[in-house]
Amino acid sequence: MPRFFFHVYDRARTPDQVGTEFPNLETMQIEAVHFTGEMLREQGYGSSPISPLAIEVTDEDGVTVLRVEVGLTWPSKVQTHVPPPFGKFLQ
Amino acid sequence: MENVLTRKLATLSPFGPKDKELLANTVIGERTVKAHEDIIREGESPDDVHLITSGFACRHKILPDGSRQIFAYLLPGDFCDLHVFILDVMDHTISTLSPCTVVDIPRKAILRLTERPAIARALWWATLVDESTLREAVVNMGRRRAEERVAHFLCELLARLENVGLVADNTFSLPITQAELSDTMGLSTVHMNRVLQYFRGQKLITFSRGRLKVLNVEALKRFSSFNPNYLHLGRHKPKLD
Repeated sequence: MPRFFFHVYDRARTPDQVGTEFPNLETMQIEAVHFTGEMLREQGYGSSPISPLAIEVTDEDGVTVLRVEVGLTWPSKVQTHVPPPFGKFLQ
Repeated sequence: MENVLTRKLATLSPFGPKDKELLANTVIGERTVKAHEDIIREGESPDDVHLITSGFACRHKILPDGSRQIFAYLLPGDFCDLHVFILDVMDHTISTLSPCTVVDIPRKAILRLTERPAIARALWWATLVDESTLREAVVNMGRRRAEERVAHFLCELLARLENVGLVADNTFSLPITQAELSDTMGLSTVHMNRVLQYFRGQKLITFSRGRLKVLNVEALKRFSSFNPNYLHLGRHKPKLD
């Protein structure tokens, strides 16, 4: 089964060095969305800050196969916080 | 012989020689059950109560879409289904996680045990602790962050296994997969994987080939605000004495 790596970009950028196996792309995508939701839930607990969040999924060759992004916007302040740029620690 | 049940229950209330003899005569005829088999299924009405004497089993429910929640671990010395003795029909399934040895105790034998006050109290205690452990699991799933949740669960396993003498050098057998851990913690497998990588990075645990070593017990307990009060371990003095 192919292995995919789920790198997390929030205030602390953490690469996935182990990876997880999935039978196909579809199950990987569903898992990526669930995982993003779980990571979002982690924000704001205790002293952990809220911040834009992005999950980047790469395959075994390091090719990005999926991105899930969650931004923060404050329309009244005309101020937008977008997810951080990808790929900083992958190069 | 001093069996796992006696060892567990004897920490609760002191047994007389007759109690010990009765317990020794009740826990006989072990059989082995392979990993990932059902010991008893939801809807069944068993004639025997099952006692785990070695290995890991779990209580779980499976939803129509196939997703599963594991909500209790049954370790050596734990009864699987003592309540079925009263409630008749199982409302959840119990399956093995690892290969287990199980003793089938007929309902009649359980009745005889309950006629001994010290044993009846100990069985009552065991049922109440199952309940308090489940309460803690609800709090854990509902309100703790993922890392604290998993750390808390590992602290609980360490405490429960220590109580039945299955921990050496802060290391214990944890013969389960990451998918099963995910189903226990209500996390995606990717998240479970991330949490374990974090613990390894923080030098809190090592986990390989089904063995888990807690490298820093105090740090793990502090991190998850673990308070073992709900396990009610240690020698118990019934207030009615």
